[in-house]
Amino acid sequence: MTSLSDDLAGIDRLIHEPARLTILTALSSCLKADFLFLQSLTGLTAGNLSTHLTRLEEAGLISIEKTIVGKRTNTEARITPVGKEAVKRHWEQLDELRRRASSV
Amino acid sequence: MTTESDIRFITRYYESLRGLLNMPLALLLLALASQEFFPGPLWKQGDLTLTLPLMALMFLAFIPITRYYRKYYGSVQVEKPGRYMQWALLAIASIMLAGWIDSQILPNFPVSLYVLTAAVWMFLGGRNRRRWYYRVFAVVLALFSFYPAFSSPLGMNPLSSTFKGVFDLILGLGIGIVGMMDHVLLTRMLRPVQEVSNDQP
Repeated sequence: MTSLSDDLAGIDRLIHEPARLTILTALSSCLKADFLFLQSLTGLTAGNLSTHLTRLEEAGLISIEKTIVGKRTNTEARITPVGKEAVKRHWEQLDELRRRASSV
Repeated sequence: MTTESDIRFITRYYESLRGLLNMPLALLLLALASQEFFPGPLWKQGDLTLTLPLMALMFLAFIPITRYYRKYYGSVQVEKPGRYMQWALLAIASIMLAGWIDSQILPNFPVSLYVLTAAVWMFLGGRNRRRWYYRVFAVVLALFSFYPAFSSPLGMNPLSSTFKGVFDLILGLGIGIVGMMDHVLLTRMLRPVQEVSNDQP
């Protein structure tokens, strides 16, 4: 059996960052969401959100789709199968940690 | 925004939490109820002179409200985009069928199946505990479905003008209130974005 500290060390920090975890959790609950929704959900500035989305896209956890609506670019994000599995595993890890911590 | 279930809830139910979209229908129903209680020359049940333009206004009002949500809160596409529409059509069909049974088969029945069916659908709409107010409204409707039992003559036809007026009033108020509650829930979980553009920098 692994120790709590081992489990903590095994947490994926790319996903564990609060804003990115929020983004991935939201995207795993829908088909796709646009940039504005993710911004209003996370409360991040456009620049910060963009940075987080880029990191998640580079890690293969989400895909970004840009379309032109009227004269504006509409940015939509959707989670990849890898991302969906990763966020599911991450929440399971957190639940397990919480359960073990409360039983100590 | 703190828990996993909060995030999943607001994402999954975002479209139906856009409660201001209920307001045009709520106002239309209240207007229709007023035809019974405050009738006028062109303002009475069955007279479509002003009712049809009102209905057209109601549909037009959906456009700016939808734009408001899209502009300040964005948009989400759920796994099964047509799911809500399917449920809504099924609800409307079953309520109409119950209304037909009320008027054609059981005109003197002490319970309005029409209203009771609406109550059942409202109850189903409040399955998530955060939307408890749907269940409260469902109970109000279920109680009102017994209105014919206490009317004079007993078992008054549920499609009579008085019944319809009171039903429109209750439905209009209820739809307006649950819409406001949905909107408040949404605004408590999402922060409106001030930027007009949806551009990713």
